[in-house]
Amino acid sequence: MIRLRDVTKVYEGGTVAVRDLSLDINRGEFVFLVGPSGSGKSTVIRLLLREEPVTRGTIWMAGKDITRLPAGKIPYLRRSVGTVFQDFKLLPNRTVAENVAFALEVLGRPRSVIGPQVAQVLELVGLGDKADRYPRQLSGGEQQRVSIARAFVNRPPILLADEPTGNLDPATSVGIMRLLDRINRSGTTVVMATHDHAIVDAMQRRVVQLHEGRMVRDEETGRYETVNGEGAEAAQVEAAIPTGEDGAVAVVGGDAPTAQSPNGHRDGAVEVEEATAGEGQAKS
Amino acid sequence: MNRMGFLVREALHGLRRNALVVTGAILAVFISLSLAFGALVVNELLRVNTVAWQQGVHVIAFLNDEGANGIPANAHQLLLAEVQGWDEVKDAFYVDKAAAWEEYKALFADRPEMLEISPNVLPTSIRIELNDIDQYRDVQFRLAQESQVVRKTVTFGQQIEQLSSLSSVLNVLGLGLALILGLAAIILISNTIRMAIYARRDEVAIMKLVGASNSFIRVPFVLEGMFEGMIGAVLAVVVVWVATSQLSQLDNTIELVNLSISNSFFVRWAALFVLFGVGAGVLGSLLGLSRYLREADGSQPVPSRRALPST
Repeated sequence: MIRLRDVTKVYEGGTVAVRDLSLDINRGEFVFLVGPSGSGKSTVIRLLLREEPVTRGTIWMAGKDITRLPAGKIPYLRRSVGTVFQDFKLLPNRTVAENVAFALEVLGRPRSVIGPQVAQVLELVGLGDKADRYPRQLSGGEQQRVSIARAFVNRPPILLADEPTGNLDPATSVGIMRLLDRINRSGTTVVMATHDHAIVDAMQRRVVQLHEGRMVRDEETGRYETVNGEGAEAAQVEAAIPTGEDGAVAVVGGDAPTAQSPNGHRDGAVEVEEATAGEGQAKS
Repeated sequence: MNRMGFLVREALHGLRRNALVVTGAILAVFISLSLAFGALVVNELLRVNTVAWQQGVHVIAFLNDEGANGIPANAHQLLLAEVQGWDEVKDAFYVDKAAAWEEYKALFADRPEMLEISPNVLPTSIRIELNDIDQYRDVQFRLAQESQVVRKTVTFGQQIEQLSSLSSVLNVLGLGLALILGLAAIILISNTIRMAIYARRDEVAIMKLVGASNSFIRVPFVLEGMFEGMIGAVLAVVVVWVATSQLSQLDNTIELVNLSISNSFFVRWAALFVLFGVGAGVLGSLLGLSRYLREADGSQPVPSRRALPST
């Protein structure tokens, strides 16, 4: 689905963000890109979206070499890739439904299609009753759900998420992760850049760790940090700095009840102790 | 259809949101086009009047009466025949005392006290139309040779010459003014579009993220510029129309000059000015978009206000 070969990105001014990165992501996979700030996670996301051209190397998305895509074709690439960001990127002067519909409107979809499709995806993210609210009337978690709804409304085969829980408290993050997990189970390939230890450890999915632009680890079902891995030091530095407004994340082990797992058949999909954030979703 | 509706809605939305800046751009187009259009109308008025005067009588030779001071009885007819034979003269005709009196009566119809004169004191005259208005000095000089018969010559040549040169100066000035102001209008529109893009950079960034094509992103801005140019131009046309219709009402009180503009002239130029406004709007917005377009070609989205430094 996604294949990177010897990808290097050097920004203007000589900063090397990604070095000789080779990576294969299969259809339907859920991959965490982890690493401290400056490790190149976001750059990889930007390269996959062709927001930046690569300096060297090749990236294939769904069999197409996107590094040689002419500028006019880039929009078509982005239509097959949903994106979710830390800052939600919602339009404040549009309602929830309008924000989601916007993604379809700019593609020129007829209104008769947009209406039902938006309603459906809002149900999926659990905001069916808040379609007419404005983003400022929603909590951070709800805003991120709107952003996910917008990314997913076009049913893209790939979903890229850059720190989607970066602005959210742990309890809210759980809900977001559950949603992304559900989207992934519907067959969508999900690539998520994060430095949220709790989530990575709880989800037990493939982990690709970057350090100073290099891949230092690629594990099928990994944790955020290895016990004596190369990236451990960097990850510990990262851990010392609270990432969200609430850095105190308590993680319950895999033997905790699986009540929060969407279908109940996965062991410990996401378990975060609710006590740290309390009930409900804090405003971001 | 839905697509077009969406784009137009977007454009109108942009106009509403930046009402102040948009008003500024519309006013700039309006002022520049009214000045240019006004200059054009004044120029046209001058041209029409100059032509009218050019076509009339250029030189009048008032004559001494026949039979007095030894002037032979057929001297007037001989002189007329001679004048008609001159190369410079296109046409010449004789106005006798009776015709002069009719003319005089018509001229002073509303001032009865002026009519209390003897018709006989009015001189006969030869009215001369020249082939070329510039030759009035030559003709005046030749008439002066006939000093026995010709009492006095009057000519409008100088006035017409002055008017012609005024008209050509105004032509150049008007054209220069129109060019500069037209350019100003385009620059101002491009500036408002640039501001509109800045104001909506988040929206544009999201449009790019969800895969809107560049042309799709551009259309609302181009429409916005087009509206600005068109509204400004239409306002200018309306104002110039009101001004000229006011002028042509004055027409009745000033006899010598013609202050009405023909409808066909006005409609033709009004259409051209509205077209220019639309064109200036499109050009201005494309100019305003050009920086953004370059970024788009480099496949970079418009920087978001909330864009985080890349990690």
